[in-house]
Amino acid sequence: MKTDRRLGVISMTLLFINLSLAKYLLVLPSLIVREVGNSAWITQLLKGAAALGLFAAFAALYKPYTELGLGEVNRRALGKFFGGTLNVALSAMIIIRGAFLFRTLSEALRTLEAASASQEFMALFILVPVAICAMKGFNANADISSIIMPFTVLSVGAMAAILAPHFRFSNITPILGKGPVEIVTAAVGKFGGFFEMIFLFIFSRYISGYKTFKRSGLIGIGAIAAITAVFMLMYCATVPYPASKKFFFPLYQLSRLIMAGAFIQHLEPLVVFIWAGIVLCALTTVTLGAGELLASAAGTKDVSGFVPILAAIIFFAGELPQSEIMAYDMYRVVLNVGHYVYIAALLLILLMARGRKIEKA
Amino acid sequence: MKIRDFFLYSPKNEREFELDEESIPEEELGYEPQMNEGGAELSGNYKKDKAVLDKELGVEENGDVKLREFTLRIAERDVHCAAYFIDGLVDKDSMNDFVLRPLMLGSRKTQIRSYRDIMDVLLVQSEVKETNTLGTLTFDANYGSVILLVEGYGKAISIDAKGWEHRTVSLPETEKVLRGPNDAFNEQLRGNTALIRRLVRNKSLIVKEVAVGKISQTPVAIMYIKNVASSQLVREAERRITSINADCIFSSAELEQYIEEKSLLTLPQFMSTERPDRAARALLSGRVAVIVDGSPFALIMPTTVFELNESAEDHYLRTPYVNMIRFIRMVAFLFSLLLPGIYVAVVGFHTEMVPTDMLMSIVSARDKVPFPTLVEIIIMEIALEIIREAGVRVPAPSGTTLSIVGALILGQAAVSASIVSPVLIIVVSIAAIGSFATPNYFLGISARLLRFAYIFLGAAAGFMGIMAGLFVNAVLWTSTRSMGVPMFAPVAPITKGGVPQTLISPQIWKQDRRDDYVNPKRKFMQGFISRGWKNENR
Repeated sequence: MKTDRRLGVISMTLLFINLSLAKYLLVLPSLIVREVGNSAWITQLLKGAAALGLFAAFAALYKPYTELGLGEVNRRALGKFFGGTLNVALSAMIIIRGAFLFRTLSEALRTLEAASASQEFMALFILVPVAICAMKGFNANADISSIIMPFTVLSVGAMAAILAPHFRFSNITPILGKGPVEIVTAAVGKFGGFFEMIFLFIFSRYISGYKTFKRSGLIGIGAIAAITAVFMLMYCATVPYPASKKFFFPLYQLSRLIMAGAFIQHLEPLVVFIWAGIVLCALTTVTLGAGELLASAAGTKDVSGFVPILAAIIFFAGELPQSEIMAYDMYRVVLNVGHYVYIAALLLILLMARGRKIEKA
Repeated sequence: MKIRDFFLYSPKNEREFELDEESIPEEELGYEPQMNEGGAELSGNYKKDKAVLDKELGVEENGDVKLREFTLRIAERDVHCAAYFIDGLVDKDSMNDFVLRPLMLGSRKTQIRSYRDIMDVLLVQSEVKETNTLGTLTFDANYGSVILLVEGYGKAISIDAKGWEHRTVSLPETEKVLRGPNDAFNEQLRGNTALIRRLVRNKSLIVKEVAVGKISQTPVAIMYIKNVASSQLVREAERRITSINADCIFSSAELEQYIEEKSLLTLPQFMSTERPDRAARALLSGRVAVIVDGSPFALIMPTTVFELNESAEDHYLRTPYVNMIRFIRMVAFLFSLLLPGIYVAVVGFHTEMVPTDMLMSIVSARDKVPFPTLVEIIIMEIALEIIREAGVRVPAPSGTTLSIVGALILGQAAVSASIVSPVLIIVVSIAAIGSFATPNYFLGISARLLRFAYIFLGAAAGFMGIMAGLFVNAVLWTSTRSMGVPMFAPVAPITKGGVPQTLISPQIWKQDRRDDYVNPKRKFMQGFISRGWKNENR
C-alpha cells in the first residue's frame, strides 16, 4: 500500500511549534526579560505579529515552489555551484544552532540529573535517539511531534494552574516594563526569533500543497506567539524582576516552586520528560533540515545518508565551548545574530527564484 | 593435519549409519513442491489412471489411504470404479450412505444411461466436481474428499465428504466477556467462517480461500465485506498471503510473522481474536480477517496500537464504563512498561522527588540488601518471568503448588533473606499485574520485554534515559505499519475526526463513522440520526 504521505496542517503545525518551543522552554525567557523587563510577554505577541506579516510575504513569494523545497529552489535559482554552496552554508548555520541547543540540554541534564556523569555520557542519550529518529525520516519525526506536543502543552498548562497561587500581579508591573520603545525595538529587531519558519520552506515538499504550507505557518506562528506569551507571563508573574533575568532554565526553575505534597515532594525531575521530549524532537528536525539542504546540494533526495555525519558534527560542534557558561553565551550570540542570516538568505533565494523565473515543480 | 582442521571440527567421511533411500539432489531440496502441485492430468485410461492415483496417493505406503473398488451399472453395462479416501478425514456414514450406497445399489435400481448421470442422479452429496488435474485430486483427497475414478469416464470425480474429529465451539480462553456472546473459534476453518457469516448475513461478505504452504497446502480464508473494505487493502492482504514461499503454515501465528512488516519489533502488527463477534465487527469496519485452517484465531488487519488496547467487551459496555476501563488499561500498560525503570531512576537519581519520610522508609528497607537496586530488580524480574513461564506449562493440579512456591520465594523468603526490599516487591508486582491487564497478550509480552530496557536506561541516566528510550520506542512504533496503516493512527499521523473517537469512546449511537485510516469504501456505519425514535418524537 501507499506509504509515502504528505503532511497535513495539524501535523506540520505541531512540528513547527515543537521546534520553536524547544528554545523557549530551555533558555530564551530569561534572555528576553533581560532586554525588556516584565513586558516580555507583550514583546512576544508583537514579535509574533511581525513574524506573521513576514511569513505571509515570504509565502506569497514562495507559492510556485512549494513542491520543490527550499534547497532545490536555491539550487535552481542560483545554479548548482552557488546554490549548492549556499545550501551547505545554511545547513552549517542550522547545525551550529542545533549543536548549541544540544550542548545546553546535555549540560542542563548533567547539572540536574547526574552531576557525577560526564556531559559526553548524557550526550549519548540525546544524540542516539535523534539519529535513530532522523534515520526513520521526516514523517516519523512529524508523528513523534504529534504525540509529544499535546503532552507538552498540557503539562505546561497544568504547571500554570498549579503555580497560580505563586502569581503576583505586582511582579508584572509596570506592565510596559522598560518602556514601549524598548518593547517595539525588541519586537521589531528580534522578529526573526521566529526564524524556525525557514524549516517550513525547507520541508515544503513533504507538505500537502501550498494552502497547507501557508496555513501551517500562520497557525504555527500565532500559536507559538500565544503559548510563549502565556509562558512568559507565567514566568514574569511568578519570578520577580530582576531575579527573572538570572534564571538559567526557566521551566525547571518554575517547576521547583511546586510542592506536590505527601506522595511526591518535588516535581521538577518530571520536567525532564517534557524538556527532553521536545528538544529531542527539535534536534531531529534540525538534523533533517540540515540533511535536506545538504541532499539538495548533492543533487539527491535521500537524507538518511547524511544523518550519521550530521549527528557526529552536532556532537563535536556542541563540544567546542569549553564550559557550560561559554556554551550558554555562544548560544545566546547565535540566537541573537543568527536569525538575520536566515531571513536574509531566505529573502535572497526567493527574490532570485522569482527574478530568474525558475521552472515550477 | 592442516591448521584449519586443528581448530575446526570436520566430520569424518565414514558414517555410522546409512540412510536407505537415495540421496535427494540439492536442487530438489529447495522450495520445489513435492506434493499436490502441477498441472499433470489423468490420461482417460482407467488402468493407467488408477496406477497413477495409487502412486500419487500412496495407497500401498499409507495405512490411512483407502481404496474401495466396485462396479456400477451404466447403460446396461458393468463399469469398474475405484473410490479413494483417507480414513479419518472423511465422514464414514456420509460416505457409505451418500456415496457408496447410491453408486453400488442405486445404479442398479435406477436406469443410468450416461456417465453424466453419476453426478446428476446418483451422487446426492452437496459438493461434487469433476476434474482430471492430479494436483487438485490429491489436494481434495487430503482435505476430506472421496476421489472416484470411473472406467471409461475420462475424468475423476471429487466428492466432498469431510468429517474429521475436531473441538466443538467452546468458550473463549483469552477474551472472556461478561455481557456479549461467548462462542469462540475452533480449529475448523469452515466452522469458523460460518460463525462469522452467521453474524454478517450479507451477500457482500466474501470468503476467499487460498492454499498456503507448498507441502501442507493449508487452506486460508481471506474474509472481507466487498463494498466496505478498501480494494487496495484486500489486494495487499491477498498478495502477501499468496506470495508466501514456505513448506508449511499451521497457524495464524506463523502466517502473521510471514506477512508482517517488521518481525523483530516487539509490537504485534495484527490483532488476533478468537471471537467471531469481534472478527465480524472488524469486517464491518472495513478491515480484513484472515483465518487459517487448524488455528482458532482470526487475524485482523490492519490494526493500531489503540485497538490493541481495546477489549472485546468494550462494545458491550456502557460508555462511561468503557472510557474508565480504557483509561485504567492504559495506566496498567504504562505501569507494566515503565514502573520498574522509574523506580530505579528515582532511587538512583531523583531522590528529591520522594518525601523525606517515605525516602527514609525506603532506605531503611534497603538497608540490609547487599545488591544495588539494578541487580535487585533484575533478580526479581527474572524470577517472576521464570515463574510465569513455568505457570504456562505446569499441569493444572500443580498450579497451586507453583503459586505457593512462587509467592513464598518472590515474597516472604526473598525479603526475609534480605535479597530484595519490600518496596521493590510492590513495584514488580504492580508491573506484573499491569501486563496481565493489557487486553492483547502480545502487547503485554512486548511490555514485559521492553521493561528490561527501561530498567537499564533508568539505571544509566535516570529520567533522561527513560525519555530517550520512550522516544526511540515511539519512533519505531509510529514508523511501523500494519498493512500500510501507521500503527499510531489516528493520533500520529492525525486523521480527520479520528483522535476523539479513539481516545474517548463516544456513545454507541454516535459512532457513526468508520475509521478513516483504513480507507473504507463506505464512510458511515450508521445514519446521522441512528436512534430513529428520537426523530419520531419530534
